Amino acid sequence: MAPLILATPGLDQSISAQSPRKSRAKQPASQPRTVADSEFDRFVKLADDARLSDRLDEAISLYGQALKIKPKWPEGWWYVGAIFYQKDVYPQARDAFQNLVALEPQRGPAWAMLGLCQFQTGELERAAAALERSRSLGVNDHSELASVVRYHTALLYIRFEYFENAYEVLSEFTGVGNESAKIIEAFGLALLRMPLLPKEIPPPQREKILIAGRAGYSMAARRMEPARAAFDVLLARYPNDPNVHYPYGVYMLAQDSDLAMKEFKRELEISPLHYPAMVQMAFEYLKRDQYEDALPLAEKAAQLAPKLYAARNVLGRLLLEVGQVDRAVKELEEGVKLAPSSPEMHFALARAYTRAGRKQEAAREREIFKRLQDEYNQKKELVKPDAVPDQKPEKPSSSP
Amino acid sequence: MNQTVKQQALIVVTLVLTLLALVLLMFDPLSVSGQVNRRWNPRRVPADTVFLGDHVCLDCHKKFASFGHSGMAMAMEQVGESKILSDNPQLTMRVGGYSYQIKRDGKQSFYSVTDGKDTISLPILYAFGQGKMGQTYVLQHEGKFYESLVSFYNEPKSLDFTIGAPRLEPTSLLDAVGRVLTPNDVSNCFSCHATGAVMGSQLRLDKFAHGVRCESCHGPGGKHVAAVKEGEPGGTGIFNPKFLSGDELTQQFCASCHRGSDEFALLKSMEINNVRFQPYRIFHSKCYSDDRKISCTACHNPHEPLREDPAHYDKRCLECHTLKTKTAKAGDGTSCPVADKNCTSCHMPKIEVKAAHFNFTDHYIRVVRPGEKFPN
Repeated sequence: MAPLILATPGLDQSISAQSPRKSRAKQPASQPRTVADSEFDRFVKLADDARLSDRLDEAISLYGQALKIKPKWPEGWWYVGAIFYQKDVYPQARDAFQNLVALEPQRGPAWAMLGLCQFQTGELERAAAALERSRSLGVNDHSELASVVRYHTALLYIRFEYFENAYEVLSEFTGVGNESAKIIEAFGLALLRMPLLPKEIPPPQREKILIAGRAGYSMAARRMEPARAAFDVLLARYPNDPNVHYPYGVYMLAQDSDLAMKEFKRELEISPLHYPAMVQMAFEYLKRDQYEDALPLAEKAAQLAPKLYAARNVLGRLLLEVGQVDRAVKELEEGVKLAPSSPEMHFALARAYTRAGRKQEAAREREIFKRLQDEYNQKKELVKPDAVPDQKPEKPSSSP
Repeated sequence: MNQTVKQQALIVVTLVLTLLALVLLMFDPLSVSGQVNRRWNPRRVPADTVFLGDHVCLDCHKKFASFGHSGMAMAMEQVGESKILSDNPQLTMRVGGYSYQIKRDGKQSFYSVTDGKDTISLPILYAFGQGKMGQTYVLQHEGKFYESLVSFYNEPKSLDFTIGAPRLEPTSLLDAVGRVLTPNDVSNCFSCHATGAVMGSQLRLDKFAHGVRCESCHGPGGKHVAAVKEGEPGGTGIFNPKFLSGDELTQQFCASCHRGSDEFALLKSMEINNVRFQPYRIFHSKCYSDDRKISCTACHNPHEPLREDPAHYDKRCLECHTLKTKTAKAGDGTSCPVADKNCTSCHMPKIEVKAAHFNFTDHYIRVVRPGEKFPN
């Protein structure tokens, strides 16, 4: 198994590509070296030797000595965090990476490691924030770390019931065609809208989750026949379970919207408060100009899930179509507040302002929409398929 | 004021209000036109709709006879009468180990693909497009509809991959035929390229009109004809999109086929291909508003073939902007410091979509900077 961290990803290449000793030479030549400098160098040399010889406890102690002299030495915190992480001592690893992100707040890999530690210590909300930040900053070309971050980000989205986000993140794995059990399992949890971490899955549910995961993976990989086959099995075995008809409806929506609508209706029979099904139906009715059918569903979805921007989006757009322009603007403004980075929301709001004759605000929203869309396209170009975690999230290795 | 006076006042007020409401109703453009369905959508034809056909409309509306030569009217050609297929009786193309041939035989054309050993040969059932850009074919094989993997393109007068199709060697002979169309795909294709082919959610290929015909945009004419025969005003019983607001017309009515905001989520991943979807593009423009002066029909008469000369469009721009002035500053948006004619040639540049072998007019009206990246 390849080591996760060979160097110090995200740290300045001029530093990480060199040995710690050389990196210390960054201080101006004119500045006289002190006794402390010499002592620091000595500890670093010993720590590096210990780390490279796999004497990890000793390395931690020696890096600690060096950090006492120079507490603003990023590499030191990286090595300490990485070694603690490797030894499964997550609280100390977390603290080390916390120090590192304080020193280097723009370093994606540091946030990634902090988030992974927080995941292990059960600080899930903080972990989600740190991992999201690492993804937005990027983890350079460190594909293994990116892959582990992606997997854990998806797990946290599932745990916090952002199932669509989880599906989107998991879909990035299809680029390399890895269909490991972990990925399939995560897809299954997202598709069945089960806010569980893998370790929390009740054994009797596992089979259903894996079948759904197979369907989800195939759907994300645009392999329509295997997806259909998996859904067929899922529907045959669990026809009366909640959240089974909904994903099948989503899958069918682009191909056979009539069938999809039947599936959403069936889902609502099983789970009358299933607001995602309501939103999907409302969007489809909006597309079909059946505003009277759509409005009650959109209203109810917005009521059940007031923080769901998609519900505000469809409700606002429907209100616009039936001539309730002022209310439409209010709903869409609320949607923009909920999802300020959603191009769809700004686009819809721009249209509503246009219809309301609020030209300047419409122009402003169009500009935001265009900017967000450009960012989306740039991000899409940056997302490259990379490796995926095999059995478990890898530990960072401090050895070369 | 005693009770009787109060009651009389109330009656007078009620009468006045009723009269006022009647007057307002009379002068409401929708009522004046007597439209039966304000929300007519060319792509959402109710299941029980009965279309009369263009010939009935043209009995009275002779001035719109040129509509038959418009791009919309020719959005689908009858295979038997197809000019493209007649003028190009044998078209061939090779993709890796697969050879394609479209061959004319009397009033029929056959689409064949062979891998050298086996051949699938199918009659072309439907020819989508008028050939201004190109033409794509719909075939049927083993009960499924297929979109042809290769299409005819007018510029090179030859076959090439259908736009949107993966430009890769097919993995099997069946794959080489083209893309299997889902029920949604079929509905989407026919609802925009034909009239009356999709009613409710049912495909009605036994009886439909090729291309976008009068009633596609105006709705069924039966009530209108009956009303006019009864002496009702001209606009009675028929839908007229000219009463829609600018935004409704552009982003909903025309965009139902030409694609607008509703489909932007799809478009955002299509990059330069977005340029094909005019409602979506024009929405980006600084001058876009709900005003009909910036709507589709402000520049395009849907009853006529498309005007190609840039000068034709100048007067539309000049309704809001002024001609070149010495005092104009670049970017002030009111007048152009560079030229006094052919506005669209600079502000609505032609964008080449290689996959379509065609230069599309970008409807995102803007000041184009030299060397700028296509604003998606």
